[in-house]
Amino acid sequence: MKMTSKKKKSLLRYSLGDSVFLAIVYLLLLFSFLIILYPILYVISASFSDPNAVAGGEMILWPINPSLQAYEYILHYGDIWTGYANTIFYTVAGTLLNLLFTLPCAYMLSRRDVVGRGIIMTLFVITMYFGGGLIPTYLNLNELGMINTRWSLLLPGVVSAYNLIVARTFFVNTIPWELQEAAFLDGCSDFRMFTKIILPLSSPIIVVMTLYYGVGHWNAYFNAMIYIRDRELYPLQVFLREILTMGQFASDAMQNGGDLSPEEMLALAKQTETANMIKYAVIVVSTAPMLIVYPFLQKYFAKGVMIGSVKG
Amino acid sequence: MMKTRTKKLTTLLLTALMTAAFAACGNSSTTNKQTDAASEAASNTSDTTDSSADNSAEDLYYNTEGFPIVKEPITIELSGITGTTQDWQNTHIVKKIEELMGIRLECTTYADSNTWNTQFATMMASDTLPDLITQISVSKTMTNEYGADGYLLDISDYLHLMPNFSRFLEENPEYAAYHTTEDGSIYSFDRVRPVDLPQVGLYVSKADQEKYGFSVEDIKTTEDFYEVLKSIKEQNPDAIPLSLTFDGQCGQRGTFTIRNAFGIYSMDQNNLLGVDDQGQVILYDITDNNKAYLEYMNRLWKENLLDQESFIMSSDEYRSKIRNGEVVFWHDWAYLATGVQAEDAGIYQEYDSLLAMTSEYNDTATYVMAPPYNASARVMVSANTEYPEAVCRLLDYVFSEEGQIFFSHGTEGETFEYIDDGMGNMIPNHDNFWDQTKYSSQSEWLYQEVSIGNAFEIVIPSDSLAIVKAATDDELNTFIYEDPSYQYTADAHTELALRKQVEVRRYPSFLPVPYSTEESDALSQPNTDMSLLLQQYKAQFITGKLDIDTAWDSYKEQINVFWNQIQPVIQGAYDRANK
Repeated sequence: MKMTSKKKKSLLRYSLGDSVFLAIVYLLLLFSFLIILYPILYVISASFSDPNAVAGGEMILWPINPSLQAYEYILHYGDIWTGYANTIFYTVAGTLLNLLFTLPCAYMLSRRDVVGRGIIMTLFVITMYFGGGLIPTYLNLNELGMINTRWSLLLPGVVSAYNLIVARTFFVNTIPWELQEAAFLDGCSDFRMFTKIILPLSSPIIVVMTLYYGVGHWNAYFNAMIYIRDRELYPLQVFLREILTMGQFASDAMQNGGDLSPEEMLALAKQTETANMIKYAVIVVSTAPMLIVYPFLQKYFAKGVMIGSVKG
Repeated sequence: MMKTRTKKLTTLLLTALMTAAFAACGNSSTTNKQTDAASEAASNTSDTTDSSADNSAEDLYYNTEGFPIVKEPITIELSGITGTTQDWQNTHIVKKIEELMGIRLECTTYADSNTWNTQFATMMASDTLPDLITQISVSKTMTNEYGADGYLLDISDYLHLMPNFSRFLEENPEYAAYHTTEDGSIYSFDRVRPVDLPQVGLYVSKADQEKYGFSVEDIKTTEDFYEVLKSIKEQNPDAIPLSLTFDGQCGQRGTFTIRNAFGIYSMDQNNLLGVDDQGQVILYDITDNNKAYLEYMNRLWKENLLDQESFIMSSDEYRSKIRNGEVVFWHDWAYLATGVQAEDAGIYQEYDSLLAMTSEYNDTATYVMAPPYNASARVMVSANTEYPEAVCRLLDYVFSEEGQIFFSHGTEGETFEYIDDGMGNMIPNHDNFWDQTKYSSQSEWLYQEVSIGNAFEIVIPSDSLAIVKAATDDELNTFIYEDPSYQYTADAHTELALRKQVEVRRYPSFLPVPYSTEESDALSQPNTDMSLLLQQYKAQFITGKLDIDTAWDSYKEQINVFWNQIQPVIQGAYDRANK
């Protein structure tokens, strides 16, 4: 057998056209890889570099005057760790809630024996295109008493219509109806069906949903910026944004410096310097968990990302 | 077919139901709340006026004068921008206000104006505005509109409790005119700063003057300046003789020095408004003065005397060039650009300012004076506040002499002490109070632990300015080189430089005028369009992409399309404000 496969391998010859084509493809892939890699390397290098050199555009790729000053500052910057803890909470709790609502809803909509599922699906799809807007949503949450609470970051958007469609398509295409029929004939209830049969067969879609929702929660800042006022509840991205805007606020204020006294200008200058020093390090610190977790989920992700597509 | 028809009917029915539901819930409650807010504010006002007239002092929750302001402690919500990680709640000012005045400030701060403005909009929509709103980026027109709609308190109804603010309005009629609506209401106030000294323009180091063999005192005209720049370039082809930035970036104020020399008296970047001798509002951008200025700048550009990155570099890149010594003439807040801390006070020993120049268009060295107030709102009070009298009395304290010291420096004996400045003047000093283990400078300590940013620094004190203006030349030199408190250094440097000029004129810039909502709407689009066009043409003329002589008439024609719409509106508002 081995001899045969070896023989088969040696018989494979690429034509000149194929070789040229492959070479071009690899070149394009290398080019794309470098384009994607450069910003990541830049951020990592900048986090170790002299902030004035970075701000002045002197750093191209490798660190200039490397030091760990930024990371040392972050270690003592309490808000970062408050934000980290909150983000982890929102990501874990939020994703669990998302899955808790999305998967059963998607399964229900995949069942061909559910009456009115078409209309319900249409209503969900409508929400993908139309929304109340910022003020009505704010008023809504205000009336529900969720402003300045963790619920304002967990409940709104607990079911994403897009993810719902992806999950529903998975259930329709992957779980055979006959299997479910057989289970019903054996006396299986709907809840038992979902927990004992459907969920165990759905690991790819669960991982995909977890990743989609998880990354969404991890990166979210806008809702926190609007609905939360208590700094103890802010997620990490809001503090990161604060650091970035802190520098911008100082820069803008200094440009309009006629309004400020020397003491104010100096305080703002110090602030800009601090912001420049730590912003790249904070970016590294805030994206590190996702970068670390993703390789472990990659095989499921690769398998599952197309799984919600419509099959013929 | 039946099934299809049923589906369609069901969809239509559901849509109609949703529309009806939203129409029923949305507007009426918002409108009702707005109406309620307005009527509540109105009844509060009439109650207040009635109560102070009819009820005895014992029935009031507040005291009409002195401290504490309130008889029983109250809590007032305050919101603003820190732009820092500063915690207002634990600052000296906030704690002292509670101790002295009986008012506990519950502070909510935001990192930047975008966030705060968005929150402000949502709070207005949900009737949850804080009592005191500070540092909000809202135009005077919008503020007056919000006030007329019942969102903001009419402060003019409480002037009987605000003697300091009332006196301030009498002493500053322009400020009063700007902040008062046509019906006499005052819904906000903005910062006031002393403007007796202009901002000087371009800096150049003493070392560079020695290196290239010139002195700033010899530069009297724009041609003198051109010759100096040319000489620098000939001696050192790698040097950047003059570096500026345009259109909102750091360093743009350097252009003022050159523009003033050509008789363009404006502190804006585009839409350069001014007033002629007949009281007509003019646009400098389409005058021959501006043409001459653009030709001059184009000459500098062509001969590589002006930084070729002036239109594209960021503020950080600009400051980096200055720090690295690549640039000879530049503008910025000197101690920022060169990284020198104010406590050293060494900066003014190392640098000189380029003073006002003359040209064939302007034979008197002229400085344009900044307006004494900003064209936006800084502090407002919510119409829904439970304690309008207490809030107004707190704000009135800001306008008192004692209050200005308090909000800038804190409390004597706790955060500062008065010391002799060596000139016989007693000035606040923090040397013995700031925490040197925790902060690298007094300024940082002051802003982290004492004050609440510039939320309440509405009136910037001008005592040091008066002292500087009255000082002799020798005293000014002492202020520059030997001032232990750095109180007067910057102003003394400017004053001394100005005195070296034989004849100097201080020209007021176009003061912000309040527009009505209709005027603001009429100006909005043409102003934006004209500004974009001016920006574009300016860059093209200076870089030589367009020849000024051949394109000037066409340029004026295009700008006049907008200016002819804008001018009558601004003229009307200006005439009204100056009545």
